[in-house]
Amino acid sequence: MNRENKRRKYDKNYYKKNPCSDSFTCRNCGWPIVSNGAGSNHRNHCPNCLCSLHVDETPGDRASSCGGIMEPIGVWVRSDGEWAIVHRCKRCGKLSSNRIAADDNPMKLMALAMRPFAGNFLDKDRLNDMLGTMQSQGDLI
Amino acid sequence: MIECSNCGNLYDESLDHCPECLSSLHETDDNGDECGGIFEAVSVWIKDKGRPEIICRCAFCGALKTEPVEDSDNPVTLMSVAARPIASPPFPIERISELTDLMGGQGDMDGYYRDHK
Repeated sequence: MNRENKRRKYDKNYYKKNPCSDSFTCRNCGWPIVSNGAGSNHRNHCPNCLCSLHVDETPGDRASSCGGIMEPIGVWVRSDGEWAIVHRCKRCGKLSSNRIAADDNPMKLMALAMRPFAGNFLDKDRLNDMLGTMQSQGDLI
Repeated sequence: MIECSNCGNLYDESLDHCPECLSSLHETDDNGDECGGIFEAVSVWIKDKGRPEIICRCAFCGALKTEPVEDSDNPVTLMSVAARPIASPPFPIERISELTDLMGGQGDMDGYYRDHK
């Protein structure tokens, strides 16, 4: 047996120290994924559907017993101006934030960022009143 | 009444976050240890059945949580939180029209604005 394989099998913290370069298929959408092209050595989510798997509690420990699909629920802007995706586990509800990768589907990312505006979560009248008191030209209707 | 530790606004104890700046205090973490960081609203998502929730992130330890949007929440702050990613896109916006062209859609943004002027 190759030394590296042996280390991978018996060292519990192997993926904390070493990047995982295995190819796999996305369990949500079936997209074939290779480790290259993410712009980082640590690929976290499927570049096509942006879904991830709940395998870690802290990065790289592979300690989670859940294994559920983590679906993307939103994006936020980190202090360095970079986007990060907020993932939520469908089975247990755990939240995690992950950097976007270089080959992520840009349309899916934009759709994710625009998703709050699709529902009518804002009271338009109240927003209008408020913008009126701010003496701006923010008339929505 | 509680004083918001982020913006100093006074708000009712029954609310779980400040209605003006949407932040709250991270008192204890998952292990029961004291944190004391401020939960900042970083994003908004629509939960199933159309209920909007704020995604909060502790500025000190990075913990995440979601909180339902209250009726008393400031709509301008909510709007700015939801629109923040749009204001700093990770790639040039012009690429979107190329991509929608590839997908066979009408993603020509110049044309839209030209027609509606």
